[in-house]
Amino acid sequence: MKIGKRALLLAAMLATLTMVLAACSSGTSSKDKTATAGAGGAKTPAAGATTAATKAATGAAGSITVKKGDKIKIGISTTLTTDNAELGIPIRDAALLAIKTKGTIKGFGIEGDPQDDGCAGPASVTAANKLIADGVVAVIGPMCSGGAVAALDPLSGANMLTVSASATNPSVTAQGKKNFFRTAWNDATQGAEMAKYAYTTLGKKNVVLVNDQSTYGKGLMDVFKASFTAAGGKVASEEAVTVGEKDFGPTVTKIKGESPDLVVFGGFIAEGAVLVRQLKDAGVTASFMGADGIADQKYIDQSGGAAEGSYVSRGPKPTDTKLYDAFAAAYKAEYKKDAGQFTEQATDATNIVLAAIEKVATVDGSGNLVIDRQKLIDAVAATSYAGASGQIDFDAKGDRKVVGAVNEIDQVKSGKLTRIQ
Amino acid sequence: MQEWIQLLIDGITIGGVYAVIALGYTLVYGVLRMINFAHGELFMMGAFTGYYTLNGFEKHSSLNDSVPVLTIAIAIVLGMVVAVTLALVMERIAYRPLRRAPRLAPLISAIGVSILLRNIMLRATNAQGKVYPKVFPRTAVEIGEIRLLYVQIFLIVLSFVFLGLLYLFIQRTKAGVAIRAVAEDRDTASLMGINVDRTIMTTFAVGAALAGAAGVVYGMFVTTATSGMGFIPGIKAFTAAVLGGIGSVPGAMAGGYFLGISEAISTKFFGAQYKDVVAFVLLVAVLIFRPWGLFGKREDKRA
Repeated sequence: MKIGKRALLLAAMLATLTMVLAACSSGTSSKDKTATAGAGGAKTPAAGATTAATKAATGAAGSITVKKGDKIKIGISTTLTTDNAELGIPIRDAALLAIKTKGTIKGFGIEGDPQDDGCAGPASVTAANKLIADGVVAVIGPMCSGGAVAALDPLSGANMLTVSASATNPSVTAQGKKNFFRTAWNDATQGAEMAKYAYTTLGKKNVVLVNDQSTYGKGLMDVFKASFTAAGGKVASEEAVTVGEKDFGPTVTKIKGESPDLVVFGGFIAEGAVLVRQLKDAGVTASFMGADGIADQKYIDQSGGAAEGSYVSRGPKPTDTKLYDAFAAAYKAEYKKDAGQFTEQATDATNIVLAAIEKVATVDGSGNLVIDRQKLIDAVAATSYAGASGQIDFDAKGDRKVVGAVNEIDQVKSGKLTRIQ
Repeated sequence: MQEWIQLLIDGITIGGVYAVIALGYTLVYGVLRMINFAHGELFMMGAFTGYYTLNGFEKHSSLNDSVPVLTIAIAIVLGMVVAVTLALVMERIAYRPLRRAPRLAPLISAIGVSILLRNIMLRATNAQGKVYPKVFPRTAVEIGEIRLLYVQIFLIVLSFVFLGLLYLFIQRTKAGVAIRAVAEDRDTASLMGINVDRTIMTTFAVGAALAGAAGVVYGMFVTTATSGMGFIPGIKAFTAAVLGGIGSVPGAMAGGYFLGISEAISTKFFGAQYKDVVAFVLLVAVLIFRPWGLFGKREDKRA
């Protein structure tokens, strides 16, 4: 019986640890899912890490060689498990489509190497190490800000070109890693614009902020709070929800008690759709505002009609939508689904990477393709690209330069996201 | 005051769900001394079965509008059937071969089953959350500021009904007596002519039926089904079971409500970001002073 008690204690500790980890990283159960994740299957982590270290040493010094007949590998670090996969899988699909469309570079085939980054630190680092060990030329991702902050350590150690389509938190580029770029916009600008819109245009003075405890969600709400209070608005309270939960009853009750005129949410679709519905169910009449993490038709569908009227901030669609429309049509033809949030940034990120490889790759005497890592990064830094998500230029930190409007505000009207500013 | 009552109601709502799931943990632990970590996934499978059933009725008939009572009843029964089937298969394939193995082996096997089920549903749904059709009107009973959705009342009442039925089943039926006997001492029970294998299967089936039914009703309440939705309630229900004293049926019930209500109240004080901290601090505190839980029996007495 003694053993029984011990096993029980161990189980209890395991459960507690899992919860704590899930809470810290806010990537639900990312820990135990990593093992099963990824299309390539998991090699032993120890072996992967060793190869990663050796490769990083040689890689940092110079270049990567793709042997004649081999394919150029492009790593894709995105969220393939947990509820956040509903954003992550379309990002992967968009990147794979761009790779497929490109076909070859200097006679070499290209293939995607998708890995599950769990939208959180630990899993993203595992994914990064796996990609480095796989000998990829560049990485599209990581998907989430929390994952990107952590994964940039091994990735910059390997001098690996990394372009994220969706990691928007200011802290990602604030680290000053030279190998990192993003085709998404920095939340420092987005959060401020949201606050301005809420205060000035909508005339909201008393708000409740809700975040999903992720680097992205919390970070965006922090920026919003700073700008909103500076403008003279009042933040009645700051709440949080746990990723993976579906019943936010007590939080909703607390929000109702504050009688705000606007509820602002920083997080992703799964929690956003549930929250907006439960607010409505509880009779909260305040408007609801979210950001790019929920700027997707799935948010509206999953809310069961409660999303109607909510405001959604997102990166601005270019005024000329020709390129976007072409991409959306190609995506729909390939996957029989509408292109969702971040897919246009993902296709642009992939195309920028592929164009840079094409520019710097040289075929050596024995017919191998040699790509200098530093030159590749420099080529991306000098990019000026007109893509599906608009004109893309990078500043010195790797952030996407703001051209024209910083963000657009959509409102859900008749079950569709409709641009109102 | 009204806010407090509302919080209490919120706590009872989720607490009932924890309690019903916790029973599955506690029953299986009672007979096998193992934690079935895949139990939360049975809850999730129940929620999906409910979705597919109700959505099927919605698409191919008008029964959801004319006789919602019937379609909801069918959804709940089907949810139970699917969960029970899965539990029996799970028991046969993943647990029975390990019954005489060291205790950690079936635990790891259970975690494996949990990951497997979650990822099967992730693939099957292509990571898309499923939205329940509107079977229950989203209207509410309002008393002052207090608001209770009809579906919430249904969830609360049904939890009580399930708990009551289970209690009667364990206390009054032959199968219930057999479960208690196997829990007391498996070898002696088998000497007394109790079919241990069958009793263990009954235990799994009963726990799974509760989880499956809870999944359907919870799915109607939150109106979504996702592959990850069983994980947190599963962990919380396990906590509730340990809190109440694992192996004890009234303990699991009390533990569920205790956990749900304390989470709701702590949200008011510290915000929801700390409610898990509060829940686990409570768990640790209880285990320090009463390692056998609130209602559990001291294991060393029985050894």
